[in-house]
Amino acid sequence: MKKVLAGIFIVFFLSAGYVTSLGISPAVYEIDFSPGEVFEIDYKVSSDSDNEKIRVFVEGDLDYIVELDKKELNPGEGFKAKLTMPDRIETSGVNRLYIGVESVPKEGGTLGTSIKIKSVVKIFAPYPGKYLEGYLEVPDGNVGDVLPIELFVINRGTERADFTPEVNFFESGNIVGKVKFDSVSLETNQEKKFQDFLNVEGYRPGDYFAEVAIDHGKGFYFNDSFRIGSLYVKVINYTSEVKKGGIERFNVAIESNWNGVLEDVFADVNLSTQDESFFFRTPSVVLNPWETKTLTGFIDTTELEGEYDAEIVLNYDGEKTVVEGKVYIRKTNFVFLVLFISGLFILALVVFIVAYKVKNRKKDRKIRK
Amino acid sequence: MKSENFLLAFAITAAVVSLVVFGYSYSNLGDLVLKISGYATGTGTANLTVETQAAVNFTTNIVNFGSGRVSEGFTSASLITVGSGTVSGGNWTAASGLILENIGNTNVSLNITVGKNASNFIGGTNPVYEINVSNVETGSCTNATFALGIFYNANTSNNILNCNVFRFDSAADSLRIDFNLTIPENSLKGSLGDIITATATAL
Repeated sequence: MKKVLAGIFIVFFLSAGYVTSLGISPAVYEIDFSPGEVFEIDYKVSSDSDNEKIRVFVEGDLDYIVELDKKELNPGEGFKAKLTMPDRIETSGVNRLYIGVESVPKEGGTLGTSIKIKSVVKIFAPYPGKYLEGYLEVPDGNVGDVLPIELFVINRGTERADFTPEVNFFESGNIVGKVKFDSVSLETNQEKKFQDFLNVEGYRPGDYFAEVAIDHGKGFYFNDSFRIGSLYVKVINYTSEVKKGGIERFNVAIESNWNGVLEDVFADVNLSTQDESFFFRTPSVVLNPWETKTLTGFIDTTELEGEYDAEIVLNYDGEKTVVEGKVYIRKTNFVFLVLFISGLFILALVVFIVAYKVKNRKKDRKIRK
Repeated sequence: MKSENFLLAFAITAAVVSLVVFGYSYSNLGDLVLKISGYATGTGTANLTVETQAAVNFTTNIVNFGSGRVSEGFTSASLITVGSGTVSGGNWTAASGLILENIGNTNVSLNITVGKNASNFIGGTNPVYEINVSNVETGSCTNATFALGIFYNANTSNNILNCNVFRFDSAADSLRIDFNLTIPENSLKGSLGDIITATATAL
């Protein structure tokens, strides 16, 4: 029977005449809640369409506070959103409202892409009582540096906050420094950025912890970890056994303790016994701050064999790190491999013969019965 | 003689006074610069606001298999857009998947939904309509609620294709959407298609 198979035309997303690109700005708008206050946001909309309409919409629990001057846009148009804050917002903290645009897919049997873009309006409603939010930032540095400290605090509670922030710096749990800022009084939704510097002259290289505890009824803590570096690159590992008989890789794994870029880092490797000495240099690399990398050199082991004293001298920015150890150059023991494989083969053969004999014996017994 | 001595004394005194004045002026040169040049030693603040923009773009916006049919001797045809696309059991044109890029300057969350199910998109006996979202650039979609690179049933109740963070970094801002279709010989006929909606929400 001849089957009638009709043609099927399948298209996803026609190209010409459809919106394939859509954007909205500002994407994020932040408001500190104040009853009855009115905000007007001017939105710019970008699309690649020449003639397709773009629909404007609002989503979220607070969508009722928004008035749009347009619900549908022509290409190239923007719109205004007027937000009138209610008398109160039940939920403390961040309340999200979405104002977005979407392309209108073409009707009538053809297909189109639909893109929906939502910008977010974050409305901060104060927490009852005392509540602070903020952050502390201390960047990594090097011994002798002056590190900028930034503390940002915003009062998200309904009560005024009066405090004097003091940042303590810890190394291994011990306080090694303090920075005290001026006293401040913050009303609801008021914020303050505190900035100062920490001179780490005399500080040891290592890991540090900065913390500020603000006493505002209860403790509010902001902290940050940071590192103080020194001009030192560590050798963390190196190849200790190399195969004899050709050009072989020799790796040196290194780790930077410097908070800066180090150009032209390379290792000089010297392998020696009482009778001979062999030297090679690895290609150089660039080490980024605190980075770990592997230097790879090549050594011709054709004429080398046995145990060698190794001296690895790592060179960087006029400094050196020297590591001593042992390197073994061995040939692959083919005789042992052959014996091992032969032994396995003989064992397998013995097992097969025994199994065969056992099977035959059982058969003989059955026949006799 | 007395006038000569006087002149000598005067000259020495003048020289000493000049040296003292010179030394004093030199040590206070910084202040002098401050007073006459307007050289500032305080710190100032520069403020700059960069407006955020959420925007996405289908850089590859069409998957067009063209016109075709299930081949004689086959009960269904398979159309997959992975790679450059493959078609088996039918004579449609192979097509590759869609590419979606975050062209804004802020991370967004991304949700991909379809408008139809296999039954009302393709129809017939055991049609298959599956969708697969994967990174073109590593790390573009993070904190996903689904497994990247795996095919899922595309239907209107499937809302699991969410990237909680679709990044805007130029080296990690691009996703690919692929499709796996099985067209049975008794499928719906005519111009068939669907609408894929990409919903991007600023974070």
